[in-house]
Amino acid sequence: MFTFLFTDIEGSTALLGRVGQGVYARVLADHHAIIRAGLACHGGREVDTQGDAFFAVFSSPAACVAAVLAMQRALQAHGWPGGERVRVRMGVHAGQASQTAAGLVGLDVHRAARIAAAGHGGQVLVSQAAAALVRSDLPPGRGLRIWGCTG
Amino acid sequence: MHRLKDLEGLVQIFQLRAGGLLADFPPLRTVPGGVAAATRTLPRDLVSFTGRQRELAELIDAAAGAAGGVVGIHAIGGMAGVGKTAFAARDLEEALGLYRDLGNRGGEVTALNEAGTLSRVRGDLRQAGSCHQQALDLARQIGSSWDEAHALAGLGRCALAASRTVEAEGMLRQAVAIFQRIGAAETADVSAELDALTAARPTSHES
Repeated sequence: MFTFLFTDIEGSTALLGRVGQGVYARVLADHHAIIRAGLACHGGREVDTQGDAFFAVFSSPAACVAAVLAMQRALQAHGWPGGERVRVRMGVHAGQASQTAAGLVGLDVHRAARIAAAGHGGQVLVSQAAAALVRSDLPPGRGLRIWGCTG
Repeated sequence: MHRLKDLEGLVQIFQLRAGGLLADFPPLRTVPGGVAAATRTLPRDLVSFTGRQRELAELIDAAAGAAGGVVGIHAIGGMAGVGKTAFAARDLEEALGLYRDLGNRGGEVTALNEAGTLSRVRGDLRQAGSCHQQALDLARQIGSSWDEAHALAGLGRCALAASRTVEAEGMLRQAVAIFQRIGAAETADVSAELDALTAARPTSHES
């Protein structure tokens, strides 16, 4: 069982068009540093990176949630080049995958990617499978809640 | 329930909420028809269903967390004069007390706004204003823009009902600005209320 995390920057193409390549490259570098710091602090393993998107795995949903909280807070607090506002959508799902020569393969990987894609910048979406595991792991009184999203 | 692109079946999706995280977002970018497909045996709503996203989210959350328990939902219907509003008021008061006991401030702020609406509809503008003001303070404390905008809209409607049009316009304008910023579905309805108010006001002098 893995916990999958997918992230990507909302409106990155428009951002590139707005700020130009030089500033965008600095934005991307800062973004990558924040995501990687979150992964490193909470035991996440970077599987793949494409442009502004990350795919990572964790050994537990609770560790993944701790990481995304740290990442989102750091992303919001960061002073971005060009005074831009950078918002990152994130999706968390727990499920099965096979480690192959081509990387992690499984329907749950695709499911995790789709969940992330359904969100908006700054939003963290969690699948039912991951939510059930996180709920049982959460210590009370941390002010952390998981809400159902309506259609 | 939601349908994800290229994947079979409907799934439930949750949003992580915690201090320091943004809380209010537009509807999810899932494939249209997720909810409709799940409820296709039910008659189609005659009007668009807006302004109750938080309550629906809480119901789904409660149902998901019940794990074999029972979730009660009161549907209130009946002829005029049989006491539907009074019953709703009692239920709302009970819900407010429960939310406070549980320390659920998100639920509390929503119930306060609902209580404000109910009081205004019943003609008790003083009570309505008090509920929305409490909701406004609490929404700002917990950083919920959606509830803050609802509280401002409620205060605006109370002011309008009391013929304080300048105050009403100011409150509704603030509500629209917040709804617009977070991309909420309520933007259109509250903007229309604001337009109607400004169109009906012949001069800039308050009566």
